[in-house]
Amino acid sequence: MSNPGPGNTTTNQSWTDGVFLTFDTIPNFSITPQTDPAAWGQLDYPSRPLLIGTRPNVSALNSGQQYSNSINFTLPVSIACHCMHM
Amino acid sequence: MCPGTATYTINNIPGATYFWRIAGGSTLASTTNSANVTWTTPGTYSLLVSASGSCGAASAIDTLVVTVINSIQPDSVQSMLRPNGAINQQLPLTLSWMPASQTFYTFDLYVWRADLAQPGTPYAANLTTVNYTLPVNSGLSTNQPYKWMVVSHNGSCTQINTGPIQQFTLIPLPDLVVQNVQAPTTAFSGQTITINGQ
Repeated sequence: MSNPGPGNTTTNQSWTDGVFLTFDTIPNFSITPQTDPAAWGQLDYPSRPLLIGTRPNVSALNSGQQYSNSINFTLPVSIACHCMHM
Repeated sequence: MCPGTATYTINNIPGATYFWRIAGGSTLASTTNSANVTWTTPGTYSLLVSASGSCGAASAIDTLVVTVINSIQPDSVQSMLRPNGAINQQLPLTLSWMPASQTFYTFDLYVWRADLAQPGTPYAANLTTVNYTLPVNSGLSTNQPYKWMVVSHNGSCTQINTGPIQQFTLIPLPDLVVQNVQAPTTAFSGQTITINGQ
């Protein structure tokens, strides 16, 4: 996460970074994302992103600062598509 | 009423001549059913009027009690907070000020972008408190200097006093973005992948 904006986050400010999988080039966040990988399917309509994990912010970010983070995720066995986006 | 000139009118009787006077004071020049009176000194007065025609005695006297209030120009506000030049201010933002005396005033608050002309319309008018909170949805932009000013009103009279112009700047906001996301370009069902981001 990086902060190229002109302002700083405050030291007591917290947020959550989320990672999503989607079948769409542009994820549709107008509907609630799916959180259960077993219930997530390519044929869902409307197509909804799958939330595969969240991480709390590592630190406050002053203007120009950044931090790195990672998450592990096991792909659902029910998905047989070659076209997922992150 | 406030000191100044007021026009008084009574029902018109065709052909009648009217006599206007102030009790204990002067007779007014008007002989019509309308008269102008200039009130200069605070106090309570009785405005009297009667009418007479060519064929009879004068009518009964009609009386109007007029109270002229003491109108003093209000003092300019002082002790304005936020301090002039304050930066990194956040919404909701409470602006406050103090009248120089304990006399009851009402206030108009002006807030405008520092790079634009002062608006003719106050941001908030006829305030009876000595503070005002700019809400989060006030429409003010972050990282933007604003000027603000308070105008004091003296009761119902139109005398005003304009306070000093001060400036504050709203805090610039961060802009959090995700970049350099690293993930396998291919993976199979059931495989555990690691996603890195920055």
